[in-house]
Amino acid sequence: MLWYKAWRESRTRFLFSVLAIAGLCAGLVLYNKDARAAFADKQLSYAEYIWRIVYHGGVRDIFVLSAVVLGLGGLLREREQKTAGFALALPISRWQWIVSRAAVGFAEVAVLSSLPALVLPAVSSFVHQTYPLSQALQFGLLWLVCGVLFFALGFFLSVVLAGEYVAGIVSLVSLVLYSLLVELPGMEKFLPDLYDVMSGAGMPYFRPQISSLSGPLPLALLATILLTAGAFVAITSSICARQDF
Amino acid sequence: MNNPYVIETQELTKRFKQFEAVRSVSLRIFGGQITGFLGRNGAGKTTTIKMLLGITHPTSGSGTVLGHRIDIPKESVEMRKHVAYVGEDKQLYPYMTVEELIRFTKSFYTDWRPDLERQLLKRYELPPGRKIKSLSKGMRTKLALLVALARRPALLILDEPSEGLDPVSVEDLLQSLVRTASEGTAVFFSSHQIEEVERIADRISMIDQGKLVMDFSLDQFRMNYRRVILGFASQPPTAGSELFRMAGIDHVRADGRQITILSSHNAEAILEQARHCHAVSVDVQPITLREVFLEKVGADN
Amino acid sequence: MYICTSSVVHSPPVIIKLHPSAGQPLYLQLMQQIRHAIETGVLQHGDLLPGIRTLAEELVISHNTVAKAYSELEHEGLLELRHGSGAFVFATRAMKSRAEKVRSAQDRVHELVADLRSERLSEEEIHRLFEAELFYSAPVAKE
Repeated sequence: MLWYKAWRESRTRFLFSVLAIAGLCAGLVLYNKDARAAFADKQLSYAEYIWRIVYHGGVRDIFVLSAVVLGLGGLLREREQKTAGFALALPISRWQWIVSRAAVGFAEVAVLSSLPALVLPAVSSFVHQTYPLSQALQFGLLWLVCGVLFFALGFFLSVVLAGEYVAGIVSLVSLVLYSLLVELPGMEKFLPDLYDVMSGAGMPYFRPQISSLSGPLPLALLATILLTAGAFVAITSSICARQDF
Repeated sequence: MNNPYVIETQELTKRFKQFEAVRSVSLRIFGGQITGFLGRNGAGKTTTIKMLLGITHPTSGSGTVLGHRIDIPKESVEMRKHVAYVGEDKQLYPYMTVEELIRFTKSFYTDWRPDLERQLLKRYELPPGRKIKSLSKGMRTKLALLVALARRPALLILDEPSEGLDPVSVEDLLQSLVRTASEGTAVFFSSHQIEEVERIADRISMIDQGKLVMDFSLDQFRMNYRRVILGFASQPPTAGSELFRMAGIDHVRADGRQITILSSHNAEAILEQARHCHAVSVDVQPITLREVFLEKVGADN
Repeated sequence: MYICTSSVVHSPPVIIKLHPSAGQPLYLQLMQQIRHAIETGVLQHGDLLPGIRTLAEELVISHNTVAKAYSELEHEGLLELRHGSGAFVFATRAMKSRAEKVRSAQDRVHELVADLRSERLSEEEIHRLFEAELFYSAPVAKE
């Protein structure tokens, strides 16, 4: 029943995110004519439009925000709510608390990352456009892996920062700072730009001329990102194991 | 499990930055009994209990509950399968309904008693479909009690269980504790409601400012603990006197020419000695647990 | 069977009132009150006291207290514990209650007075006979 609890406690955030992402994707497709016209500088192809606005634009940022926010909650929040005593007296290890919340979070991120693939190709046909499913699925994979890391970061902060809203605020501020930092010239040597990993911008597996992913996806990089996420969860677990409530 | 103690600690200590909440507490709590854990607010009761359950980690010292080490997480998890707990925070998940919380809690234990669950649900008048956030504090407390009592644990630990309950519910709670204990569950409950503890407890452990100050059976206490009031016409005996070295002296208070001695036993011999020391008036009285508690945790002399 | 609630009371045949603050162990108080009840005839030979758990719940005291009191009284020969059924009161001839004594004396006085009346002695004469007996006979040692 731990998983059920983790679900219940993240349900609202998750459903909001589903609505936001799926809704935006659908809306952007349905109104693509007007939106594309708004780009006064040049005539955008459909593929480029979708890329600019979903995979490299606002929808991506919303997805990242959602992933981080899904990581919040947990035992520190229970301590604020005064239910930590009840929770920790259950015959459950700290590790189990961590894993159940992380697993449910990962699953939710996976669902969110797959939403564009579910919505874009299908809704595109309504406006007599095509968006290849294979593209959407590949982007979905990039989103899934990076999303999992963003989740892990929010998850980590939720365990080290006490205070109902502190973790949330710090997460958001960190996100903003990160997105600003990676834009700075020369930062690419020190800080991987996950935003660009997700959109393919400047990456060898992306062809800007056709706004599509082509060539093999960077599996080694993706594996590293997943491992990093896993490491964050492990560190989080060992921090949680030592905490007093 | 051959350990007669359901709870045993050795020099259990908890330090928070500069403040020592629990100082070298060595508890020995027997199975088959109801033990009261008395102390003022902030005396260290809750912190001690949390350490027993693995909610808080000791700074130093060790302990076992039901034979399992409290500082080894794996053993602590195993132990909690057989322990029921009602904490001082009577807060439960506000988004769950009464029914959902029961189902949630039930899923972790194999010693659940569906018959007691039904009975208590009716007796406490808890509406199963009501969300916890709309329950009063008293009803939340009852729900917390329900999920602890609807089991057959080896040990039941409660931290101020009667807080927020009306007198009828308190009576009901005490009766439930008696019933649970008579069925083999060891009961360890902290309270600052001395009269409640006095009625049902077999033994008392008393904690003050983080230290264990008393640990005795109530039968022994009632039989032997006495207040000895001595009056002196001239200078009362000083600290070095033979009188104060007598066995059984637990606490001494001097008010001018009157000396009040709390003796855990040996009152008669202390009286004799007092006469030796030229006491002009002597009086031996029984003493209530409340009075001992107030003497011991009041201003030290 | 259901657990006793405070509103559905299964009363023992005796009213027990214990005082936790009185400086006397509760089991001793309980013993005294049961013993007193037996001595005065409120509890009679063969009466059944509730089981340990039931009495403990009824009185809201530790079952250890009840167990100890019952066990001691069993040692004294006043109770006989039957596992699962409760405790049977065992009032032997030597412990005959005062009330029984008085009752049996009352029966004998009744018979004697009836005899004397049948021999045509007046009430006045019977009364004076009893008074003289009590006044002049050697005083019985007070119990």
